[in-house]
Amino acid sequence: MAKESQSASATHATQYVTFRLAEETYAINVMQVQEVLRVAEIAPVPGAPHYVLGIINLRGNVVTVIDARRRMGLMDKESDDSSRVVIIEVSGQVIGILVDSVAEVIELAEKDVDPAPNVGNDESSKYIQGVASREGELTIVVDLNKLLTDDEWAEVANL
Amino acid sequence: MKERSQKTLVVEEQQALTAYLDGLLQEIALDEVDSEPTDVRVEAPPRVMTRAKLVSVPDVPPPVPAVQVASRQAMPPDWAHGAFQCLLFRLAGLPLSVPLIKLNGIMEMPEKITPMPGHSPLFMGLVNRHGRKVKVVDITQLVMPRDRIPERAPPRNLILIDDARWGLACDRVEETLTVTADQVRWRSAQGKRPWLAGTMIQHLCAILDVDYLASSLEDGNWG
Repeated sequence: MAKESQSASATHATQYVTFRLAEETYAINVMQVQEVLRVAEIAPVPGAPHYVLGIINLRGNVVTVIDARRRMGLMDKESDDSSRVVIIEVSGQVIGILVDSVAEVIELAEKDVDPAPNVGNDESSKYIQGVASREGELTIVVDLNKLLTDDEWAEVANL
Repeated sequence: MKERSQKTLVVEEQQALTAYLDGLLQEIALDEVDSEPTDVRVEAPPRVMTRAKLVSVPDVPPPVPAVQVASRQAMPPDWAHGAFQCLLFRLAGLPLSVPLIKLNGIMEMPEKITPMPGHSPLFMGLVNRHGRKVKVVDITQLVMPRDRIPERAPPRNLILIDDARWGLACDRVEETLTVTADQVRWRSAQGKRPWLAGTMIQHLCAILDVDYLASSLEDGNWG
């Protein structure tokens, strides 16, 4: 019975929204995505961490937008027509993440996601939940709960 | 004039590599001195007579700190009794080899490597091979002092080890050599370079301790 339950868990598919960053595909749990926006005016916040682009007004609510490239240590890139701000909710906190583009919604079973390789990675890479192989390409699955540390979440909340 | 300066550069690189290899030979000899009983006389390693040896040879570079991971296999290892084969390859110009018995395959360097953000720069990323993910690493900084690493062309081959879990990026694959255990100067258990199994003096080439290298990479305490 326990074996069956374990097997069911391994084959249970979760839906993910995929986005592109620096020519690579990343996936985040669809349940944490509230909406996807075109890039509009982002007001910078003086003194904010380097990965914080600023704040936007989302239907009367102030939402902090972070640059996914900077957060992941990738090269900066100017926003263009494909760029999107993905509004996500993590532990009751709503933030936006700027990505190069949003691709599609996919389904991944737990068994399809291999754990992230432990090879000289630092604390800031704990958000990489694993890697899935799809159609000959690799998709990096991101654990949004670990995108920022507890201290960073608190800092972003207080902007 | 330009040609001459290029020749000088090539000679300097060769000198640096030869000096480094010579350092490996000397280090193994010193290890043997340290590990053997005091009554045993240890001969100095054979000197390699190349043009580079005629000029002043820099001091042996400081060894890469050994990480405390896997226990080290006694040398020579079980697979090295009698004749065995090694695949020779170049890493930043340095001739290295892996025993064929520890080799899982060779790949052309794929065009597409998926990098992992936040990881060591030595970790180049993942490659999809028959549905399995190969972790691609550039071990140059593990086996050579940073100030000795020459400018080089992009790696052309991947050497697959540890059940193809790891792909070692290299300049190029060269030939296969058949050697016997007594042609290799095996490192002692106290050696300061954990990745080194021994040195083939005749071929001026170091043999990687593949098992130790793979386990230390897996441990993640590198870079």
